[in-house]
Amino acid sequence: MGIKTLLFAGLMALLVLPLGCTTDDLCLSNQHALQTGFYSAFSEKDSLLKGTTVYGFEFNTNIYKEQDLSKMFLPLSFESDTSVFVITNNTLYDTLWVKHLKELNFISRKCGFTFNFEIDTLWYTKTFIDSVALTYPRINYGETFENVEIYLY
Amino acid sequence: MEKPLKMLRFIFISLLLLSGSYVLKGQVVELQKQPPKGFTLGVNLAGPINKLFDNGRSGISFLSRMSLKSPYSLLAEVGYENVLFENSRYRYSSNGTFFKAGVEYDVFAEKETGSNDNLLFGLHYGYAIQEQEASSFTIENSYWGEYTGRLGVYSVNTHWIELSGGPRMELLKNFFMGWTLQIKLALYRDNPDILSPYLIPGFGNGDNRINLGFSYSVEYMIPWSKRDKK
Repeated sequence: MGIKTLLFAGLMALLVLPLGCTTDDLCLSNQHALQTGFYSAFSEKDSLLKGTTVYGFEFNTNIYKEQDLSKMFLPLSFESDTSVFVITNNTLYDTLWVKHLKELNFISRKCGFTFNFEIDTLWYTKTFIDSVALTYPRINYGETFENVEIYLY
Repeated sequence: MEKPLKMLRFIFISLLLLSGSYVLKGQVVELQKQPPKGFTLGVNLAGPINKLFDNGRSGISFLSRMSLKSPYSLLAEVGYENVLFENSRYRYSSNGTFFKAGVEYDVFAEKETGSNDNLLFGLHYGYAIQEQEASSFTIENSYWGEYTGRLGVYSVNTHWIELSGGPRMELLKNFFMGWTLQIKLALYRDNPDILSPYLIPGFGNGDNRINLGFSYSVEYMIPWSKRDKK
């Protein structure tokens, strides 16, 4: 086989080679939310909180509005080191303070940057919340672990 | 749009190199027993060709090949590549240079009469240093509002090894043209957690540890031994 045949054959093979190497990674959204689950303080089983509205403290927009919830995804603030959420159940109110540390993380050339979080401390009022347990303190891009268990009276 | 562009690029390159083989038909090839030894000075056209299809990239590299004891030769290449990239999430820029050196083995060391062509396989070490920054980035937050920031200029050093292979033709006396396909493996990169380089000069996609590369080179040889005529 002559060198010219090789040269031509190689170039023709390379016509299709780059097409096979193209990658399209998907960019995930809402990857900076604290994941919480509701549990019964008596049976420690999953629980449903009916007619629940959730919003950020001093923030007019609702995260959830009059929904029956067994879990919540609470987006954390990028600007403040503490995100505060008000949880209402009919006429009852509870407040959850989440103190967190954020860390800048580069995802990929297509998806750009995100913040990963580490939960430092949780405070809460005890109107219908009995107790709160921090089970997994990290919130990382691409992970779906539940971070906090909220036990209800 | 990206795939047709890539297809177009390789059709263009194929036609370019094939036109060279037609030039060869019309010339008288000098007969010889042994190919001449010497060193070449050349340019790798991959950078300018990439610029045609991605205006955010600009770069070029120059190479030299020196004959050792047949069938081996030494290859050295130095070049630069700058990148400007922008999408809805961030704006990125990088200026960098790279250096590669290694040994090449010519499978066609026993030349056919009248031929001074090569089929070269090489093992190279590569090093790149670049300064990069994300002059602005945005992280979306559907509830509290998006965050905008910037990441200042900092240096990234990358070391890699690569295997290369491909043919090279002597189109005119002492004037060579060829291509190589390269498989590159990154060995070490500092500052890995801050920002993956969009493109590492001479290495390619900064998201990958293994990259494929391609070069199109033209070289002029300055011989230090005469061609043996039959």
